[in-house]
Amino acid sequence: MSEAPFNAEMLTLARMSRSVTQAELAERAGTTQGRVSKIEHGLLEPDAGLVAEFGRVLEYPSSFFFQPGYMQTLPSWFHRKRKHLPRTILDRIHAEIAIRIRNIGKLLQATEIKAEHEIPQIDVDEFNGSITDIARYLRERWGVPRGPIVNLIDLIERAGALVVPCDFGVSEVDAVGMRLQGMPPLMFVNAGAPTDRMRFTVAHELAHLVMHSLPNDDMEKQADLFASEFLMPEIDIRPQLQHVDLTVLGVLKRVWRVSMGALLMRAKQLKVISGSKYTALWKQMSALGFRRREPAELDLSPELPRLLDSLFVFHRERLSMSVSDLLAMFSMYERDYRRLYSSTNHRLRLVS
Amino acid sequence: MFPDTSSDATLKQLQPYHAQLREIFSKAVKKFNQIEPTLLLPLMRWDRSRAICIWAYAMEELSLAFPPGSEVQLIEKYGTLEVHFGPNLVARLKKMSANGFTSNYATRRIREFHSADQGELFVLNWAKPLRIDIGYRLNDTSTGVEEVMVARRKSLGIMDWFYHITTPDNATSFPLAHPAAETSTEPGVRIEARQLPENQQQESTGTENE
Repeated sequence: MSEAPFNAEMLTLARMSRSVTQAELAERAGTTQGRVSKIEHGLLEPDAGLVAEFGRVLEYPSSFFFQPGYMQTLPSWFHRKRKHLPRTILDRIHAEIAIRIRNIGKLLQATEIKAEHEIPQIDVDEFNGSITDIARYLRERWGVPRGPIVNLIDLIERAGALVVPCDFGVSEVDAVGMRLQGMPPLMFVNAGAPTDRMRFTVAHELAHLVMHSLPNDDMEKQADLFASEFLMPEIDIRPQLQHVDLTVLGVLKRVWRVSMGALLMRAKQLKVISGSKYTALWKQMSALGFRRREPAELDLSPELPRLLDSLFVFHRERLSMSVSDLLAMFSMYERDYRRLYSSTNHRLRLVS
Repeated sequence: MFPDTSSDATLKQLQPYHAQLREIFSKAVKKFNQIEPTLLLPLMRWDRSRAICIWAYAMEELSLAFPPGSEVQLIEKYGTLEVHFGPNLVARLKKMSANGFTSNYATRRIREFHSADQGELFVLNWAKPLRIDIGYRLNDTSTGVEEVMVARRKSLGIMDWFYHITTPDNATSFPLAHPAAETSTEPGVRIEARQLPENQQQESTGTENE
């Protein structure tokens, strides 16, 4: 048994990560829901046998429950934007992100990220409320050349943000960005999303990181506007949006690396096309099924985060840590480790 | 003796070449779509430039498919290639609408091509060759061939018959040229060992050990 005290929040975190209710956990661990509830609220301390049972049922080593700290909360808008998703799914995603944050925190204990730029925090009022000016300013500040941003993930990582690919298991959650004390800005992105959608979402989350240290009623619209101007600057894209049809949207998608839908909305936003043409094109896209899935042949090449991978490589090569060491540090079993980090950490080999 | 102008007769005669004809258009559209997207944009924006580019690639593919000495002869005429499938069947390659028509301006040559009694000499002038269009139609995003068709008109504005070599069910599309999501080679971000105060270095986990 660890010398550290049992941490009730870790039990809640573990349970949420498996989408298990208190009642289910109690039944499978041979106890009562009331007892689990009291334990999670810190009113009861489980004995070693029950902790081991929790570990067995939830598939975590017992050491998981003795980690210090608390379960990181997500930005307030995370749940608000996804009210329609079942609570258990949101809780699972929340828990998975919280676990990832804890693990990243452990990786960063021994390392520092030195970035070329930074993601600034900007008060919208400093720019007289002009969201597009903020997007232009950020491009300029980061030295982004005119035209399309070829690799947005690379750009954001060069600003010191950690982009973490995740499998949320649902298409409704594309990305969650957050700033946490003592950590670089974090962005958890749905690795299963098409590249065009992922890029727009990442730019949207970037907007939140830049402009929304405090939430406001217009923040989603502001973030969309920021993302549009950041990825498709008016000065460059306006002439290209003249006379659009599906064919032109298809080529523009390949040029600007955003979805045909985002381009069409941008054309309307900039008043380059009439309302009737906008509606007609949306209808056409709907009829062809493009609103659910744009043509596969127009799929964009992926933009893969590298920074998290580099953190793992640093631990392996510079700090001589094996996977077994990392498993011990993260308090997790290999299966979870592979699931959480297989997309970023494929270069790591298991050292038995 | 009058030639058989039915679609069945033409289909029978062209059948051995169907795969090649499909391939010609498929490859042409593929080549067109492999143009770097920023250069492709102005060509794609206008129907005319798009059709001309694809047509040019189709001519190239046509020459590769039927080199000199082939059963099918290519005869350069009026700045295009006529495709002669024997002495009684002449075709030209075109972009087509869904009903088998082309969008050409009605010049005298076009009228003659589609005229039932056009007087242009051919190898055997006692049997006027059947003149057909072999054409393609692009998919909705112009990234692939939706269908390849063979059409014969009685005259410029009157369709005799047309049939599909491909149907929308087996329409082809291809991997396209995309700008690669280039990753900067210059490391804009690097990872360093965290420098800890001396009195913490012994206790901290994962301290660099070099």
